[in-house]
Amino acid sequence: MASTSMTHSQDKASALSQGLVIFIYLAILTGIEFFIALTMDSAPLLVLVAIVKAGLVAYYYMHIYRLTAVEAETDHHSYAYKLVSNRIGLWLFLLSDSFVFGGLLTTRIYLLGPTRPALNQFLGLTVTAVLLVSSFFMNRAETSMEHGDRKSFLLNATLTMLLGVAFLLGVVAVEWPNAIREGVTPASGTAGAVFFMMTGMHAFHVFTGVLFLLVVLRNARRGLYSAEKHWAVEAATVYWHFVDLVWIFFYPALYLIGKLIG
Amino acid sequence: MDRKLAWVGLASLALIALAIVATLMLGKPPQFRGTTYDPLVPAPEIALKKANGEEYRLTDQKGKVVLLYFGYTYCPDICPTTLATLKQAYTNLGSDANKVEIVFITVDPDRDTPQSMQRYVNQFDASFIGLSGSTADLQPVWTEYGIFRELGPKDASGNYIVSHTARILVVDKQGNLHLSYPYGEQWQDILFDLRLLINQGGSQG
Repeated sequence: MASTSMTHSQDKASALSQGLVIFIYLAILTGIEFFIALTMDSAPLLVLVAIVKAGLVAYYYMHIYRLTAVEAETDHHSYAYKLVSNRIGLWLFLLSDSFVFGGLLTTRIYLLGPTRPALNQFLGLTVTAVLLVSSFFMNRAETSMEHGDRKSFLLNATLTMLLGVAFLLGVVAVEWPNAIREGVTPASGTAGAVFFMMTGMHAFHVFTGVLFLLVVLRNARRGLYSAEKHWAVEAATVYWHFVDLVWIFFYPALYLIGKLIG
Repeated sequence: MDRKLAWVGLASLALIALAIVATLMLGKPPQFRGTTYDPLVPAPEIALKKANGEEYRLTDQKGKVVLLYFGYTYCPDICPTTLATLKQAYTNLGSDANKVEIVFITVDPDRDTPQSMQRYVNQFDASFIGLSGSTADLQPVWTEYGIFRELGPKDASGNYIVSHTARILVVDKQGNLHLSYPYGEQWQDILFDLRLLINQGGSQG
């Protein structure tokens, strides 16, 4: 039980409170980010805040440091060994997915430059908040599973999933029609194309994240996971936080950075 | 909450606070979205009759930001759309509207009187000012503001197009020509710059 013991390096209470503290940091940083966007025309500052938020999510929620916590496993058929290679595989996948989002971000920068489309700020901030809160609950769910609390896992994972659905509705059912009404459509020009491509691709990932959570919830209900063995839960968690991380960059890129056009 | 976490929070906040201070201190003067006059030049005097017979003098408007636009009432497209844009910006000024003045000066004095100019701008906003005068009064203004003006050929009914510079000029509170915009500038950008100019203390570059 070598490398799985690292999930118990903290006791449950402190792990949960850590998750909460990180969420509070993220919320404060988002508030600061919004304030900076309102009062200062500074893209570098907004990028800096995004990087700090991303760092917190990557370290504390996605526990990227687990990639390095590799103990020499002699038994290549052990769960511990497979867990290590699973993690590498997952992060490689996330890396490749980052190219998709990185490409879209680059496209946004190239096509729109120092301008941004006219979007509803209240909506943008709301869906951002919804996604951040969902990450909080996702972290809570994972922590619960790591400490064998299945009931708490089910509750928190369900909350995460529901918030994910709320985010999807917020984007697809509210923000998109709103943008279209304002004349920003997928075919209305570069701004519209960029907006719909970025939010669409991201929303698609949220959708698949929700599907992933549904599967994991179903399996958890059937008792397939334990504190020692719950790789699918960890994978779903890290994927979910990844989607949140992408939005940490997409939100300022679409809503906050640059001068308004049209 | 453990110590390390508290440090992470503090360090993040400190880093961002530092970055904000650095940005403010290295602060460049406000980035206008319009084209700036560099160096600023005092706006040449404009002394023309208003519709009510009173004289309008640009130099009397110091303390206000003045937007100057040259056009004519028979203009088919450029002038109405530009005035509509200015109206958009003006409307969104809110309580700052009384610090901004929008002035429409004719390039077609043969057809536009001060009254017809004022009637025209009233359709956009009653606080806009329409000015005209004789060609002799207006020529120096056109020249000093660099306004190109060319009368087109008359058609059967005697109507003609006037080709003219369509830039929007902005005079700041100190009476200097500060900014200009090309035709088609978005009202949001004009509004952004107007706010900067309204909040300006002394004259800045």
